[in-house]
Amino acid sequence: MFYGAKGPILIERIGHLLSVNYGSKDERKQWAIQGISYLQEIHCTNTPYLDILIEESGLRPVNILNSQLVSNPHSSLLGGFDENTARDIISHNFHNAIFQMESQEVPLSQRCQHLEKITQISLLCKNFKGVEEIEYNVKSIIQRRENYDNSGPVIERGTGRETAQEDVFSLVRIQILLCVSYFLQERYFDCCTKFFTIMNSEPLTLKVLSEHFNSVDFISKEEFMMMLNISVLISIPLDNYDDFIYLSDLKQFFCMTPLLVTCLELLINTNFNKFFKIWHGEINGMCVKSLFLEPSWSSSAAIIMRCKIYFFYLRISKKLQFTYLSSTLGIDLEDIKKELTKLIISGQLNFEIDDDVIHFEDSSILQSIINEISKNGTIINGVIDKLKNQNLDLKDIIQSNPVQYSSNNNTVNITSSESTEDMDIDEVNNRSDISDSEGNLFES
Amino acid sequence: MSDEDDNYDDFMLSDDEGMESIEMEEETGDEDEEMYKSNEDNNQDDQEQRMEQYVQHVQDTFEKKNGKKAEDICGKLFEEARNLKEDEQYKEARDSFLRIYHMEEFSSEENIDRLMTWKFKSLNEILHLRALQLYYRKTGVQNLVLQVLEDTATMSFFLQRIDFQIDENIFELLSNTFEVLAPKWERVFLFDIEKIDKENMICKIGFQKKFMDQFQWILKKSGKNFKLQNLQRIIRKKLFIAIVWHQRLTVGNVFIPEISSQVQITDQDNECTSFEENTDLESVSMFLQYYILEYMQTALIDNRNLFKKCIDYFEKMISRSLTFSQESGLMVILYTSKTIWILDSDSENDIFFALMNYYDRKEELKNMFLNILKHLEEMGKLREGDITSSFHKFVLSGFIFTSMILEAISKDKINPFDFQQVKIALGSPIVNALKTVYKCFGQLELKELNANISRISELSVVLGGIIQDIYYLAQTLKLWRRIAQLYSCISINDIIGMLQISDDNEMTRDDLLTILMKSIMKDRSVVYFKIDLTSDLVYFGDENKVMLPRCSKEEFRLTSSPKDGEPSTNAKLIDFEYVNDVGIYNSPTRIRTKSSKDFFNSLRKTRETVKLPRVKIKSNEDTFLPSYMKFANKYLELTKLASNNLV
Repeated sequence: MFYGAKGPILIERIGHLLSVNYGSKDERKQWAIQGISYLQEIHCTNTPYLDILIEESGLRPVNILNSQLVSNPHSSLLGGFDENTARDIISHNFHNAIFQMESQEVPLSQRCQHLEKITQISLLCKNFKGVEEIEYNVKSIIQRRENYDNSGPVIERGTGRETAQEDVFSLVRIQILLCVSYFLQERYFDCCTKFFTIMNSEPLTLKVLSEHFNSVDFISKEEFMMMLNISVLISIPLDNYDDFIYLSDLKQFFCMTPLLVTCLELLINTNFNKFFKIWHGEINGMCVKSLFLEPSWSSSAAIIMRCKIYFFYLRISKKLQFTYLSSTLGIDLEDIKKELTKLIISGQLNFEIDDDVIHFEDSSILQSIINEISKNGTIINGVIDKLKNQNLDLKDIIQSNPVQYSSNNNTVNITSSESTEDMDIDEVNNRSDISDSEGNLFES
Repeated sequence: MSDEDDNYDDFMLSDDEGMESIEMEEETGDEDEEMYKSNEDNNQDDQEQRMEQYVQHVQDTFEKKNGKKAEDICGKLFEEARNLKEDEQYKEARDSFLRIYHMEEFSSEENIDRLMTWKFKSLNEILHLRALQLYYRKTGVQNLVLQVLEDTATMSFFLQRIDFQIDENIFELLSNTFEVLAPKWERVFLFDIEKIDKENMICKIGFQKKFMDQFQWILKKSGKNFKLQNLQRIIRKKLFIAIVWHQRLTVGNVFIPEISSQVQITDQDNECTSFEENTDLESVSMFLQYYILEYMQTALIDNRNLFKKCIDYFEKMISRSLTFSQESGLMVILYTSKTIWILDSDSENDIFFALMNYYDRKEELKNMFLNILKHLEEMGKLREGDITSSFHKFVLSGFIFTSMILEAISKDKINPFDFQQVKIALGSPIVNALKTVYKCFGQLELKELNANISRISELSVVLGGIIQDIYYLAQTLKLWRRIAQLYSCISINDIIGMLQISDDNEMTRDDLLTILMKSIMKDRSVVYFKIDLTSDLVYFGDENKVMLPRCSKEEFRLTSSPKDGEPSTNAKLIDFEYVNDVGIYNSPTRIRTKSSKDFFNSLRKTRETVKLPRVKIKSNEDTFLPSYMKFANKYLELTKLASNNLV
């Protein structure tokens, strides 16, 4: 459930599960107790999840406060951070944690490992700007390394070598974390593109991923692979799956994730129903319970994939029914209606919805212009109508009250004579006739 | 041929040995020393007994005369018998050898050892005597068999009596004899027995079984002696092969518990030790034939792992040795296994095969079939008489079918009937039938195609997958080449009627929709189309190329990205990323590259281009956008300007 997480990430994972209300009540209670005992061991109860932990565990707060006097927590519980940083993370005091980490002095040979930790904290607090800075940093490290390698072979000593090796792994892992960052930002295309770029430039990538990926401290290999699967499925166009799956330099990668291959095959064979069974079953199941996958999944990933398929159906059809789509794709009718309607409106698609039927409506590209012009037409008509009415009123006044007109109201006389100079009544009438027909034309 | 060679080598070898022993005889002066030496050799382990033995040896010298005499006689007799054998006077030769065997055993221990060796050698020679005749004579083998079996019984009895307590050489000589009398069956295949002279073969296999049965008792011996274990393995192997073959020839069905359990045991054995140690080419070849037969009969491989392991091992062994790779029989087995593997993987959804291009897969399959044909030809098995067997039909049809598929989906047009291997068989019923199939496929006559393929009844199981591919391909081709070009609007049911393969195999609406959707996704649809899913109509023609979104991508970006004041969740849906992922503005294009770098680069490019593609004045083929689209923005701006001035 927690991929063997041990450090502060454990609290995050438990907190996530509890806050999305995952699992049965008993399970939640167990997790909550596990979380509280972890907090006790590490002497830190200052966490935003504390309330929910206490509530779910059913323990009384007294018990927790009682247990402050224990010896120093075991280092395995710190997830590779020092004590204070770990507590900062638990209490979501991320900026302080990063600040402390950054101000530490680290030997050159462990720089990458240190940087990896900072990246982890940045991801936890969704400080993507910080991650971006780290990306620049990594770039320069890699460049320097290359120059270093080119300058000649270096003989490394026994013990130094191991840490150096570990540092290289760290460097790869940081790059992998960059993909995680993209995923969290819901930039799925960047996520998978970044990964395949790393794979191309760094031959160790797959090895590190499968052998040196420590799920105890942070994200697990399974979760990361799932990120890639989702990103690939979402961001590669349907028409290009068939090209993608045969890319020969990705063979090794595909062998690591048979699930992706299965999904791609189903999609290539337009077996959408079966695909959605996996998408809403296995994949959904894993995403919902994962701290790293859930936010992006719920907010966009799940729905984008569905829209992609809806759009494919729109592409090939003139008319189709919601009920048909619902039964062929195996998705709830109400969901389809909601999502597809939203897609058509927000994507400004040339489709009209008529109860159960969606049909193509060729409101051409000029439609918006025509709309605009007709809008202008109504404005003009409106103005003309107003003028016409004014003139009619004027005419009435003149005809019904000639005396008043000739003797009393000089001002009116002046204005009306001015207006008649401007425009003859008949003329106005004629004009409005024309504009009426024009208006009709627009309105039709 | 090779059997003869083996035998020849064998004879040469034993000749040399004979010479050696004769030479030894002549050096009488050194006899004592020689004897002592061999004695020492035999008892290397117990050094302490050396003194004791020496004393005994001195004592023995008194009796030595007798022993020496016996040995002399042995040597002479042996040489005599050999000469007789070379003169092909088998009966006399056998008698001479038997005389050695029947010599009395009365001398001291050491001498008895030597005597026993002689006896063993003679018996061995007797068994060898008739081997050639046994295997190359066509008729009247029965009597011969009986005699050899009788001799074998003598040998077996003798071995039991002496319990291998003689020369180490005995193991090699014995295994040699086994190889000669139970040879490798390299020119006949378990899966192709229709043309075999069954009676003769049953007789030989029956002999092999009875022959090996005589040595069953050796299997019960336990011991760490490597050579003994080796011998036991050979016995086990030969027995197994005899059982499988016998079963196949008499009953037909080899998939009985007795045999399959044996195969399983080998599998388990191999999990503990490495494959190489335990198995040799002959038994692996047997396993492969067993699996091929299994597939031919059921179109299924039960134990895919072991099958794959066998293929890999077999291939490795063959590639290591030049002699093996020139052995057409072995090569036929190798290529057939690989073919079966591909066929089976196709139906099993093997992940490795999923990653292989459809075209590449079929191409590999075609090459495999061609290789089998080539090697069959080398074996002289492609004559008209042979082609009637179902294995030959399978290979020929497989080759033609895969060629047909490749011809249809690629540009190179090679008529499969122009290949030399097919030309040889030209005129045979199967090739004629295949020619008709080929013609029907070319003309896209679906029902006739089906009728003609079904006429080759043997194939429906084994080549089922490929046949389905052919039908699917023919349907797709017909849809695009015949129907889509002619009609501008046609109902789905009418299309289904036209694409019907056979009366009993109804094509469903979903099948057709799948073809249509797959075609558009793979950019294989020649004519653009739209479906009205409410009234089940399909519209063909370029006039159906219409813009789905109301505005251009450029405009969309302008209008939608900076949305102020709207809640963020709503904005997400019309996000630029999202639009790209869903692919609203993508005009579908295939990306033909093998490198992931190029692939993602071109994807990124399409995602990031916002401006409209340059519209070709001549035709709209490459784009969905009508030509006036380009100025849509300007028009809009103009009208907006006007409305601003009006208010």
